[in-house]
Amino acid sequence: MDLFLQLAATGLVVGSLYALCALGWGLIYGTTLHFHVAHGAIFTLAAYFAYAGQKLLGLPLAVAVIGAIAAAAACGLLIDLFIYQPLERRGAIRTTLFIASLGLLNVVENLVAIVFKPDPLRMDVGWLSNAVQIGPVFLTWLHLVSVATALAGYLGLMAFLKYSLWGRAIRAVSSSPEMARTVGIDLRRVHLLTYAVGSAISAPAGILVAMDVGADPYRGTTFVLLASVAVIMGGIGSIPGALLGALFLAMLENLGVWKIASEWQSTISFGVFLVFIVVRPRGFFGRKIHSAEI
Amino acid sequence: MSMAAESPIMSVKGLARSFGGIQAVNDCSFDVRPGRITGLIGPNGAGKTTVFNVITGFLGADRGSILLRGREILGLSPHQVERLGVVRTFQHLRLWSKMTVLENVLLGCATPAGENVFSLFLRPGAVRAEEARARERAMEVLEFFGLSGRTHEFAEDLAYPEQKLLSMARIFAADAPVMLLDEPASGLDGESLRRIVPLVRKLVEHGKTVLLIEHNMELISELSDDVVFLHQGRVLAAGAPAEITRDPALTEIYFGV
Repeated sequence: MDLFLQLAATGLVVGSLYALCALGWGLIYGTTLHFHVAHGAIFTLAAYFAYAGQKLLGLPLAVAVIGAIAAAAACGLLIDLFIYQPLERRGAIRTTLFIASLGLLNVVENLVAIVFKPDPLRMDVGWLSNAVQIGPVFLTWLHLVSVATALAGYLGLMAFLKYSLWGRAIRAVSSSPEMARTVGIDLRRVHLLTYAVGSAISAPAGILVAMDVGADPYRGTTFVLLASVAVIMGGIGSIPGALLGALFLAMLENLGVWKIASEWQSTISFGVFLVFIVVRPRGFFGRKIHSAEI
Repeated sequence: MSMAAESPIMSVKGLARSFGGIQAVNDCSFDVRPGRITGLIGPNGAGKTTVFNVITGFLGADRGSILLRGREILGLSPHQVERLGVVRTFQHLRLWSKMTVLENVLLGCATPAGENVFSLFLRPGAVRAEEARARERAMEVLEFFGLSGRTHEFAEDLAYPEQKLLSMARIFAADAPVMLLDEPASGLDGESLRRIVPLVRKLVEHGKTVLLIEHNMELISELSDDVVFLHQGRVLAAGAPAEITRDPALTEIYFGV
């Protein structure tokens, strides 16, 4: 039973990191319909920005983290501005954008590996790496910060979408881009904002992982893949769905280890994903959608 | 009253648009006069919706010109056309179904078009004041369309006639002088159909100019001040509704008899 609780707690922590990734990716996919795998590059860049801020520039941890989030948001915006938008203006179809995105992810990961070497780079996190015991469960302060960050990211995003003019514009574009344009919403500016916000929400996931186990050039790919699975499971266009999908996926992986050997983790998540995409392509909360549209 | 004396608020000239080998709109020219209701009619496939799509910037044109108060709007994108004063509804309503009635109209009232995204963080007070103004205006608009009782319901939960009203309310809120209505009466019957004529008239009383596509000939005669008859992408006739609907040649084309 103690093992079960420990696995559930780990599942919650990992799920929080997946959730941050999925919230950003899901916001971007739901609004722009770009299958933005280069979001994985944002995850990686955020980790290395934070590392570089602390270790190379000698900034205090908090400043390095905030700077890294801002820089990652800017990178997300620039990807849309200089890669996707020019392609769309020339009439590129969604597959073209996907291939461009895949290429970009690959280039960024390899550039990072060349500049920083492929081995994980550790950051100094001080007391955050100290253990906390909650009943039979052992976590670190950093793990608790991860859960709190995901919660704050989720609530902040929901409030932004619900109560701000720009947030409402994002929802309008996500729900009916034609109608949004008809009432005077500039699609391109809303897309840029969506990329900035989506990247800013996912950047902490990369940074938190770097703080916990080190920055790694290639981890972004795994995370963006899992984020897309979580979003499709949760239902495209649904922010609560992205959160739930991410937690569900992480719990599945971690509780699966209770009875099944850990090397089956990704088999479990992608197996369940296959069942979802065939049986219920709209996910938990999604709008009506057919498998072919994903 | 001489109609020719009024200068048009919008002038479509020599518009052409083809899809592959099909000439959907071909040398199409007509005027829309301010403060009037102009009905765009014609058999299926005459090019009416294509004309709407070109005017509002959703489609490009192969040739031609669209002047809005003397200014060329052809080639602009939809949000620019909106800002210059032309809004539209869609035949399939395209409501923001998961938003409330109020939110649907609020987006019409205040879009973050000219506003800087940084003011969200730097000038929260100004943003809040604008939000309050937009809310007040949205409530007025909902009152005007008789939807003020449904403010907080989701758009998807309204009955079809109310959804139809909402689709007009949110573009009315945008404060653009020219409203393009794509089949405002389709799918309506009984009481809701009878309410549509006075409602569109009321739009004009509030200073709007209306261009509408409609299939119901009775409604066209009752509603329009001017009628433009489109056939195979060309304007076959334009004039008072009585002239057009009584012309046996046009009736033959329209009903295919």
